[in-house]
Amino acid sequence: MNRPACFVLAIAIALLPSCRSREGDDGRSSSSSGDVDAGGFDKASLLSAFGQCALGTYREFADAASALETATRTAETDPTPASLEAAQTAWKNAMRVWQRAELFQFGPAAASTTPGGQDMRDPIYAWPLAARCLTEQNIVARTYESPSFPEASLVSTRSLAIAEYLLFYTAGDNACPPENTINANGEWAALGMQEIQRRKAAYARVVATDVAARARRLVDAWDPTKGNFLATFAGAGTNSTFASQQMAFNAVSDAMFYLDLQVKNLKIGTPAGLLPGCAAPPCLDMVESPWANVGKENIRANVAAYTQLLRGCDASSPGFDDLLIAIGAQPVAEKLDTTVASIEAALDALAEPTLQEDLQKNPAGVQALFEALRANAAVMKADFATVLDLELPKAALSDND
Amino acid sequence: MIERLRRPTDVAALAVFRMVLGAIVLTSAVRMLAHGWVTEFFVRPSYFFKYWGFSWVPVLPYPWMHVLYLVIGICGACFALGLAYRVVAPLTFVLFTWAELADVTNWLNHYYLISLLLLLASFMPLGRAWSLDARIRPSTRLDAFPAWCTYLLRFQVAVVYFHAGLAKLSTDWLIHAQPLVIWLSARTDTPLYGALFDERAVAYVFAWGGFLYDTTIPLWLSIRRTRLPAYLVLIGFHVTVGVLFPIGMFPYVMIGSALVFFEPDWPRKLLRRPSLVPSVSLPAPRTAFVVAGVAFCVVQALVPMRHRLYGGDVSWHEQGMRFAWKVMVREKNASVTYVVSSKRAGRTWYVEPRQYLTDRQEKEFAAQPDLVLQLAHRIRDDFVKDGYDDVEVRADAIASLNGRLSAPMIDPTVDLARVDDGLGKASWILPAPEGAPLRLRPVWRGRVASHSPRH
Repeated sequence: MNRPACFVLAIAIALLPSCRSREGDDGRSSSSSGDVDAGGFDKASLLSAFGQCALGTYREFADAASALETATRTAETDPTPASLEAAQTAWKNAMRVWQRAELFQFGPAAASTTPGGQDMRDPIYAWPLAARCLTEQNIVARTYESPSFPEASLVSTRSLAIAEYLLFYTAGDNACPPENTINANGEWAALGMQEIQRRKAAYARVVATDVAARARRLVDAWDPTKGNFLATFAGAGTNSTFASQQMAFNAVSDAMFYLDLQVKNLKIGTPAGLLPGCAAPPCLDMVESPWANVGKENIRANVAAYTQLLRGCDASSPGFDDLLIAIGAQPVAEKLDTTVASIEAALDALAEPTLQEDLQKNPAGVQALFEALRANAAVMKADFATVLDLELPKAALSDND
Repeated sequence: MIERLRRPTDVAALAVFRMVLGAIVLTSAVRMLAHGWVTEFFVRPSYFFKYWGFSWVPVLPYPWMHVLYLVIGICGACFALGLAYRVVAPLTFVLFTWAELADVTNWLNHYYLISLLLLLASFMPLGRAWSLDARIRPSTRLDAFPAWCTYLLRFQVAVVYFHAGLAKLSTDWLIHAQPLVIWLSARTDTPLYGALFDERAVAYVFAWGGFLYDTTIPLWLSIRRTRLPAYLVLIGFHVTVGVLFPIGMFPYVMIGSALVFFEPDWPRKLLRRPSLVPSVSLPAPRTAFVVAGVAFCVVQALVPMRHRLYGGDVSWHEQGMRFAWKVMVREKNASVTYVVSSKRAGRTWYVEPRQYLTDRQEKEFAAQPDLVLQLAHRIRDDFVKDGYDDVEVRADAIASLNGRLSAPMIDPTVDLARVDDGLGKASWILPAPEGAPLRLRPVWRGRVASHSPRH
């Protein structure tokens, strides 16, 4: 073979992958391996379904946050046991929805270090960041009355986590040490019970108003008529935010690890003393929503949202399991289904009214829930990540070979 | 034979090779610093995994690893320019290798190759031609390099390709086209190429093409008539792989390294300058030097095959995986939780690796049993420090390899606190799961959704 011919052959081989595949009349590639075809599955529609699910949940939360704002305003202007109870109920309703939104931390709600992230989660719900003593100092100094409070204050002194304390904790003590000025100077004691409750109600209204505004902003960021992040997300691979669809799937997959990192480790493992960090288990002060006593409901909502991403937001929406089945990884989908069923069964088996009581009276049941969550995380990390070639974004940094 | 090795050759090709290798070192150091990877790799982690036998290699505190990479970059530039080469070449080797040995989770095959090439270059007079040294001190300039320099570098590059090819001689790669099916399936939205990956057959073309390419490319590069087309194929291959996968400098390292297969005067021919036919007589290499060279070659030829002594699937047990050119042959993800118990305290704890590791480290370490053992020892030591001196550490570790369903990777009954790492076969690593991977198929983005309600 002469040199030019060699050159042409080499270039042809090198460029071989840029040729298009054989396509049938309907534009679909025909499988040469004799496999059942991938089922006409469309990755973009799955991403769109994830986005729609997130947006729907955010809209639901925005309504609930608005109701909370109204209820706290009433509780402030008309401080009666009934108005306080109404505000507490509104908080629980909002929290029930937000706990589902916790699983949708991709896009604007996620950290700004992630694709499309705008750090919009923490100002709405900063848990586990909740600084009670600082909040009580704010109550004394009435810092929350400043117009700049929602932007200038620490996130650990606002968000739904602090609203919970303000609405549900009605005792007159504070969590600051005796040497703190509010105690050392007698400022807290001087307020009196009635003034403390009045200020807590006013503070709660400020926080609820801020949360409601931020919830609307989060909706706007996704709304197709406004920020339209939905289009960015569903169009992954055609924009600079998500250079590929794989990046978007990674983002959703990372969000699903909330069930491992936050639910399994922080909400269950640490307070139960199964993970290091709790010297004398159970550590009830580490439980989420300790004043509203809805820690178990929170977990139930987290699991429900995880299931939405796995099985589809509703009966007509695709979920990750559809993608798994489409690529021939049905056994992985079934494994995940089994682990989710185990989690739900373990949750149902926690018979006490609150998670705190379960931790005290039924540690074996709590450990069973922990184990079920652990089994799910293991399948996610091993099988799920392998067959879908998923990477943690941070893990994808650097070279490979 | 010795005569052939000491035969004078044109300096041009190896001088260019020196420039390319130095530029690669410089670029690697700049990328590490510019991307913030020095911070990510050496400042953020609180725990570092050590290579067996190299636990003494330190990780310097901030900002000294940054300084180290800065010096590596400067050394790379000096190496390329041929400035103070006799000092710079071994110094570059030592510093670059130090950085690579600092944490196992940073392991990259192509950086190992750079280390080896720097080591070999340290014993070659590559700074005595087409260099600043030669310009500053003309008396040191050489008009010819001994042929053994070229042969040794060719051997090293050929070893890489050949063993990378042998690593692909497996049912996973050739029969199931894994992990290529997984990787290509995830890239069906790649511009131009993406739709092609919807064809399972393409993964097989890549698998067999890659296998044949790796095992035979040194041969085609060695034959004068096939050298140029082979090199063009090599460029096309590495550029394609580089576009598809996040392999950073790998394509450039291999494209640059393969230049050693060309005739020693190829740069002059490229520049249409007359070739120099050196007529100088070069001294014969010392016997010890020849013995060392032969020993190096034997080690490089055999060490990559050491995994055969362990039996089983090296991609699963990973004994013999490193320093063996097993490039891109596995997609393996694992989940590890340590179960720590103290009978005296009557307590059991679950310890998550992320308590010690960064996300990147956790992803890398979980699939490598010897690293799981290392961290188990650290956890044991920490509990002992806290007063639990009877602590037992077990690992609940499952792994999924090349699309197989996950299986236990480490014997959960073994107390890793009492297991020592070593070169012997690790009985605490469970056998690889038998059976074929799942028969995965790609999904193309252009298809219409057909989700049917099932829930």
